[in-house]
Amino acid sequence: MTNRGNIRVALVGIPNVGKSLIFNRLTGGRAWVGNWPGVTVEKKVGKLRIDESEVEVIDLPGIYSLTPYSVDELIARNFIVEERPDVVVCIASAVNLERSLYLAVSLLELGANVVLALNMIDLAEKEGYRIDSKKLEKLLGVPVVPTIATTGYGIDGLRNAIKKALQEKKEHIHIVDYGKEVEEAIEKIERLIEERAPELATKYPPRWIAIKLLEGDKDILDKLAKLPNGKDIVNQVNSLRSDLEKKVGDLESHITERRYEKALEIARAVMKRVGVPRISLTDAIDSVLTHKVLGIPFALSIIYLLFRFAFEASSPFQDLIDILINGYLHDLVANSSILPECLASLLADGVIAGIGAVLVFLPVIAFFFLGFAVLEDVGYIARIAFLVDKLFSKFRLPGKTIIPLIIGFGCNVPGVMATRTIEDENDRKTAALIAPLASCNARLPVYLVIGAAVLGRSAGFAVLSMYVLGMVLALITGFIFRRFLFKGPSSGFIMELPPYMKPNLSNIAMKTWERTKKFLYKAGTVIFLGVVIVWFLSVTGPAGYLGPDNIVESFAGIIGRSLSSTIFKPMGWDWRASVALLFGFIAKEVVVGTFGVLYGVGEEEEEAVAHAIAEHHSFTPLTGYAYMAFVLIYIPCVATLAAIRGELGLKYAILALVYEIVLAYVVALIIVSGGHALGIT
Amino acid sequence: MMPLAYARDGALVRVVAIRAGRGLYRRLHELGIIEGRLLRVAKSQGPGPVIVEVVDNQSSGSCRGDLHLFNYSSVGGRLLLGFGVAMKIMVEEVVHP
Amino acid sequence: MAQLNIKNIKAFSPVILILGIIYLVTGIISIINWCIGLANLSKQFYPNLIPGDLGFALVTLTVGALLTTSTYYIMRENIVMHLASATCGAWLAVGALLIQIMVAAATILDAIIVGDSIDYSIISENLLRMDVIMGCIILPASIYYTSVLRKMIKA
Repeated sequence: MTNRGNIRVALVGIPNVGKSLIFNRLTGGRAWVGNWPGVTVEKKVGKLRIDESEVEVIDLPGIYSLTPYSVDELIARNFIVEERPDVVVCIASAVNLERSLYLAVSLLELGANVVLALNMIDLAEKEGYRIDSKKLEKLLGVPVVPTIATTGYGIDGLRNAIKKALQEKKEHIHIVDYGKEVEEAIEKIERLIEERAPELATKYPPRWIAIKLLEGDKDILDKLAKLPNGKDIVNQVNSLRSDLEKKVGDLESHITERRYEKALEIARAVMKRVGVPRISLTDAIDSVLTHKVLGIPFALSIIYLLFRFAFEASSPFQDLIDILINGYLHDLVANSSILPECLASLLADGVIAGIGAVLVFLPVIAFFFLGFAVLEDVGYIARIAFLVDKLFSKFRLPGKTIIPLIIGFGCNVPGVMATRTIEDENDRKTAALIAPLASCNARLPVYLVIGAAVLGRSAGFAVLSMYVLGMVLALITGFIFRRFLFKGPSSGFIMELPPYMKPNLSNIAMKTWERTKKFLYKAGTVIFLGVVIVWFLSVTGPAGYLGPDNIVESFAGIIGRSLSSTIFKPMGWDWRASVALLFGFIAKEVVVGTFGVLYGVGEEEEEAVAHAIAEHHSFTPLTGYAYMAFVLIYIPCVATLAAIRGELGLKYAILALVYEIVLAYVVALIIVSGGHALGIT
Repeated sequence: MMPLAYARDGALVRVVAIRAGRGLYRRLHELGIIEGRLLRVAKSQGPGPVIVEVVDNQSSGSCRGDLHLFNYSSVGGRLLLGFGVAMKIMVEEVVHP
Repeated sequence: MAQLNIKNIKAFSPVILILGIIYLVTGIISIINWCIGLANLSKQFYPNLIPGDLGFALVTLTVGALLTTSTYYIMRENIVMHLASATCGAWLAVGALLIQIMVAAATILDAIIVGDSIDYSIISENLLRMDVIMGCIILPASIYYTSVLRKMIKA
């Protein structure tokens, strides 16, 4: 093994084969996450030690094949072809061998230096069959290492296989036989390429180029057309194609089918039934959990328990953070004699109070994502998508859309990012736009405070109605966007249902951390900046620095008063409510804190705030309810907007901003006017 | 012949035709849903989304008491196909002995 | 061996039915309590044992429905569905039990942190509930059923 700069190993595989776990095992957790250039797909890179050198391990996106049709596949393909990693580890699942091998075969045709990790052999054993890895090695022509990622079995063997592959490359490009006529055409094109487009032939295996050209691969066609003899070759290829299609029919399907049949043939040859065939445990359980009638209450119960876990079981941690930050730290800084009053106020009432308000939610969000990750690992989330698919399809949305919405109940930011898993681009964009309508964690204190203040016994019901309202609006606006804005036939909802599995601790920890991290990042950056601005607006006014006790005269107060006397007049919200809405733009967690400051009761005491609201008669039950709805719907918080911008671009982020304000205003207006019309005050 | 969306729970069906646009057609192919393939319908909300398993072509059937087991080998994972997709795949039921 | 199991299961199924009915009744009372609470009419029925909470009602009714449905299946001689239904119902009940225990622990921890006094009432308030009591009762059943289901399937 020569020490020539960076040695690179790529990990590739179809979804749900345990690729992330193997990545973790190989790199020992030494990894960092970035983005593939120009796209919003995550790129994970880690380091692996082999003998004396450090090898770079790159985790490619989970893909089913190497077509240029999806961003993920293009990234993987381009990486393998352009960057030429020294070894490509293809991770196959013993319980999904056919599809895993389809990808493996595609990789072999690419001329990659493949090592196959055959994962989940323990699960295959449980299902009653064993895989002859030696035979598989012979048939594929590349090393095969059986592994069990959850226990670490085979990882050393995998490391050794990678080491060997670095020294000695094995190839098996001609692994699929496409039939006499097609093979003849492939040979012709191969010669053509070698003679007249040698630049391409040195970069990619000629046979692969030929196959791709026959498939009509747009990416390769473009590359070829750019070369000097390119257009000529393309013409010849096209005439070959039309001849062939007269004989074998649609070429692309023919080639895909043959490739799949090869994968199937190999799979059949190496799989041995050792147990008696039976109904799988998964099917038995699924017959209940995906049942038309029983499945839905079960799903709702699970979600209810998830919420209880997130909110109630995390309360000691919430209080701990509250006391430490909003208590000790705040008082320490506020009463400090070292700092000038202005700075002390900025730190104590601005930064600490603001960020403290957000960090108090960290335990809730972490617990929520933890519970969600457990359900996800077990495989239940896919079943929920199944259950809601019929309902969602009435709104022209795939059932999978519910996943970002549920995640959004925790925090909208990872919710928006979760839309990446939706394959169809139009569906994905729609989902990202409606995701902020999921009533996130941050809005809950607003509901609770107002509920406690003016709604009395109906408070709990009102809070529940907010969640429901959010979902309903999400479906309706989703339908409108999908039908009129992101038009196009849906490329359909296809999802692989993994068998129910025992949850794996490291997987869960990893997923929970990844999502919670996004929330923390939001707190540390966007909100930090926001609270400083908010603080500034609330302690300074046209008359100069006013100190923290004079908010009515400050810029914030002025803005609030003008808002409440104009646009918010029909709703009957006073200046304090308007100011709170303004500040809520930064992060909705800040709304209650703002009320606290404005009523002078301190942010920590929700009860005190509720009390103050009730005393001042700032809201009636009707206007209070309308306010709750407004907070639910109006503009995504800044962090969520940033996430939408990241996924869809600036244009759509602005659209999200605008449509939500309008929708919020309209709904609030309807509630108030409707209520008046019905005689409620 | 009927859309997969209408298939019975537990039925064994053969794919007859796929009426889909290019992208969907290709994705289905890659996942093993090809004309002539056998699928086992694990769950159907008829009409509605379905959960299917691609089944090895060499299947033989046998019923055993109340457990209704089949001697077949499934070489792939379970696929969940949404309502829309299931409507585009035309299948016919395979009658088992 | 498989035959023996089936006999045992059939013998056990009345127990499942009774448990299911208890859960259903609990759920109904919970809804009644909730309505009473909303309208503030009169005193609730054992409000601590059976909270008038919609979520509580949802879970108990679902468990009850799953357990009683399993009886329906075994009467139709569909052993697998009976087992699946009973197991899912039992596991949901155990899940509710676990969550409630965690909440109770959290409440106690909370009181320690905030400095409130801890007395017996915390325990009785949080743990003397139908979902906890019934959850404990059903726990052995859930374990048993899961192992039977596993064996039955491997047969």
